[in-house]
Amino acid sequence: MSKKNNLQPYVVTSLILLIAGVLSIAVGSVFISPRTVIDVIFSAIRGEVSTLDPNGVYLQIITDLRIPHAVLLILAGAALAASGSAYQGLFRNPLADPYLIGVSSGAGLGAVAAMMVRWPYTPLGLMVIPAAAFAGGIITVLIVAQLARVGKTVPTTNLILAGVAASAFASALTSALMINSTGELRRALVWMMGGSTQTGWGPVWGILPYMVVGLSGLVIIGHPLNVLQFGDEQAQQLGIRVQRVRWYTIGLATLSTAAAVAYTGIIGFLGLVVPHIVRLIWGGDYRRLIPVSMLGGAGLLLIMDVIARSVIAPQEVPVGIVTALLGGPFFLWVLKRSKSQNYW
Amino acid sequence: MKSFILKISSLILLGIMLSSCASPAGEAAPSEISLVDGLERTVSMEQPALRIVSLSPSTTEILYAIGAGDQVVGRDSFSNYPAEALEVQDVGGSMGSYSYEMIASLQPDLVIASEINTPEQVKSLEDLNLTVYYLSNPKNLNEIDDLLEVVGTLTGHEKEASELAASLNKRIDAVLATVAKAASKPLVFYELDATDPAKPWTPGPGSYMDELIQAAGGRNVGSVLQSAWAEISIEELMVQNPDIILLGDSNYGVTVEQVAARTGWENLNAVKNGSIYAFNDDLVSRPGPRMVEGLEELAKIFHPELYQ
Amino acid sequence: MLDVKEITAGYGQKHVLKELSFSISEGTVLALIGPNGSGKTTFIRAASGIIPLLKGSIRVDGQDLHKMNSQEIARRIAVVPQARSIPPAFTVEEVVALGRTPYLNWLGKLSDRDQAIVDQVLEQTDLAVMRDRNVAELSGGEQQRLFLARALAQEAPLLLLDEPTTHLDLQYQVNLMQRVYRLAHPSKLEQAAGMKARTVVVTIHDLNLLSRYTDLVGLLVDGRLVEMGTPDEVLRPDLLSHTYHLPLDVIKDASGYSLVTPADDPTAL
Repeated sequence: MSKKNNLQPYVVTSLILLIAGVLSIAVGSVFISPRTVIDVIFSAIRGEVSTLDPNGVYLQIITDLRIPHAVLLILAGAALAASGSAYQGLFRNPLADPYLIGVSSGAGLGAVAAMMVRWPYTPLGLMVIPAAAFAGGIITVLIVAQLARVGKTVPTTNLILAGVAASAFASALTSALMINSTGELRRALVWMMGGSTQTGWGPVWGILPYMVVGLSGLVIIGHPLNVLQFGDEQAQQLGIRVQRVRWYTIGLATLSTAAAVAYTGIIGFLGLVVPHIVRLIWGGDYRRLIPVSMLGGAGLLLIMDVIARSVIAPQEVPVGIVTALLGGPFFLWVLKRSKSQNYW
Repeated sequence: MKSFILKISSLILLGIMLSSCASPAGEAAPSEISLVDGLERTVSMEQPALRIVSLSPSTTEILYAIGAGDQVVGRDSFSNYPAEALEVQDVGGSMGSYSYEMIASLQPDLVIASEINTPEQVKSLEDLNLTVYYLSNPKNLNEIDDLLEVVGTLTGHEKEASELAASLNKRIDAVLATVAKAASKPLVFYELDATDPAKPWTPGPGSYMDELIQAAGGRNVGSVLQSAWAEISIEELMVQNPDIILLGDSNYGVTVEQVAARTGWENLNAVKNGSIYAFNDDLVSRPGPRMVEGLEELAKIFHPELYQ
Repeated sequence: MLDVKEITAGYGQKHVLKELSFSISEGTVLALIGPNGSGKTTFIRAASGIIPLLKGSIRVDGQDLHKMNSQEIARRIAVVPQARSIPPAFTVEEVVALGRTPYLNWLGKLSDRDQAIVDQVLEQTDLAVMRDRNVAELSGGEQQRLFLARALAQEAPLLLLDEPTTHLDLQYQVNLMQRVYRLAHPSKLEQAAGMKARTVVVTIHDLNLLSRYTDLVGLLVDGRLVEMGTPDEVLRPDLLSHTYHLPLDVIKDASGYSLVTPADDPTAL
């Protein structure tokens, strides 16, 4: 399970995140030369106006659009990758991703249902759709957990089955709503494809508390997940409180994933693929897998977003399409390159 | 000395009072534009907009039609009419999201949004300190006047706008008068999407197209359906047996030959008589001046005998 | 040391163990034998706290097991399951280190003492040379030994082994049982080094390992303890033939240990 080099994975993924962050700020549908970007930022720090940006437009693009967008995606990417890793450990299933037990279908249903109503153009009115998505995701997981319950325990097989059923049901309802709508169909589709629909710092503040709780909580669940790889029975015989670990993990993964989905739509593949890539390179010790996946997921999502925003500029491809198109092949490439036989 | 100071002071006081009463009509004060838009926001500008970004093709068409084409500095990806619009900077929108960076970099003094835009998009533009006006769609032919008037006011082309509105109204009245003389009204099926030929999409009651078909002297097959945009089954279509089929999806490559070849469709009167016509959907789906052109086209197809 | 008092346990409505009672003292190897379904694995589950007791109690060194949480139980009872499927992403050392789980916090960091115990157990079970090898590269016997090592790292006075010799080649079966016996009966040298005698309960199918490597044998039939005593006392032809519905003979080998064989000529049917 371990590959030595304790600090290497963190250094590498942090570096990737740093580079991705810089790219995110430097690249966009409007070309701003690197020299201008640096000058604008440093002038702003000094409280002056940059000579290369007399109208302040570049500063506006950088501070009101690119930076908050990058921060939002860092949080979302970290949440999706961490939740994916945790679920792969909890369910002992390499196909597990953050959406396994229904949070995305529930969020989609909540968002699309909210789109069917014309809300007033007020600060509260503009929060309805993300709030409905968040609530939809959480409520669906609660229902799934309740359906899967057997006495005081929640067997993983039941969870997966109930999750599949609930997802199918929610998706069907969502499709029905979408077909019945006229004007909102495109809006719903765009939301579901993944990518942020709101700009600025609002979304970041909106999800920050949930992210702080969720991410910090998931970082420390690695050791119990390691023990759980031997099955519920052996884990309990080694002293792990299996049900407690299960509820804790599901609770935090759902919280952070729902928060991410609320403002970035349904970004697929990332939560599934990033943990596998990290596992292939640095092994599957969950104490390391989860935090490293967080960093890697954040960086990778930023890179995919840069691609989404610049490949056919000024069109902006929904980032969920890019993750789906690139995620699979990228993972296969890493798999081929790796010499590990026993990485799962 | 005291009386002198008193006289001077009273003169000064008088001067101040008089100047504050000065009516604006006597001076060249800047005209203020203040309108309430479709999201119930009050939009104010000190002068008509000179750098406009249009976020929908219908808005772009209106801007050019009232002579404000030179003031357009940015337009969405789907704006393709008139041809001059293609020269203007594209700001995105084909995948549901625009490039706010591009819009901001153009430094517009007005961004015109429409019903294809979401409230979040309007908010994002507001957050960039841009003036945004949300133009609601007209609900019927009569409301095109209001649409033109608003855009005319925003752009300083009030005169052209009202002239255009007047000429459009004349043409609408002409069509209505002509088709009133028709002996009968053909049953028309307007096809929006037939990806599934067993259940094609068509405009239903309450839709704009439904109104246009009726105004052009026809009857809409779709009016028996439940919503403004709905699917009709091929069986129902056969029962209705329309006289004319219009292919609103011809812009996407659907041809008359393809339709005639569809299973089951060969039984329809319109197919047997060859009364299937391609139709430029842009003429009727974009709320603006070209809708009147669309209306005229429809009338000519429905009642060729009245247009010899 | 282990007091089992009239325990009844099972799955749902089905009672598998029916008022089972026995007691063994420290430093004993008890083998539980019996036909399939007699409750051997169920006993291990009940004793390790996996399934609840419907009646009765189990005490280890006087303390009631089912009043403890899983962490406390894990410090007193270590289970060695059958090494049938091990997740392949672990190294030998990592698996042994998991045995320290009952003493670690959620972050799972090993203290110096924890690491010392892991090292010691690796030596003790002759796994030190392959400590960095991936578990998938081990043979069946080595994997079973690994599970034993993990249990030893738990420092629990009572060990429960669930059919550890099934699926193993003969040399590994013998090797394992020898180790198990030595755990309950450490040599003078080992005692001087601080090793305490453990108590072992092992469920087993192979009756021919009992005489050499166990102190007591308990015959479980249909959830009840039908007979308990030394191997010689329990390995009686009449008792075994009746239990296994097959004519069986018990003979002594050259060293005097009992062996069980079918009584009739099996070719004459």
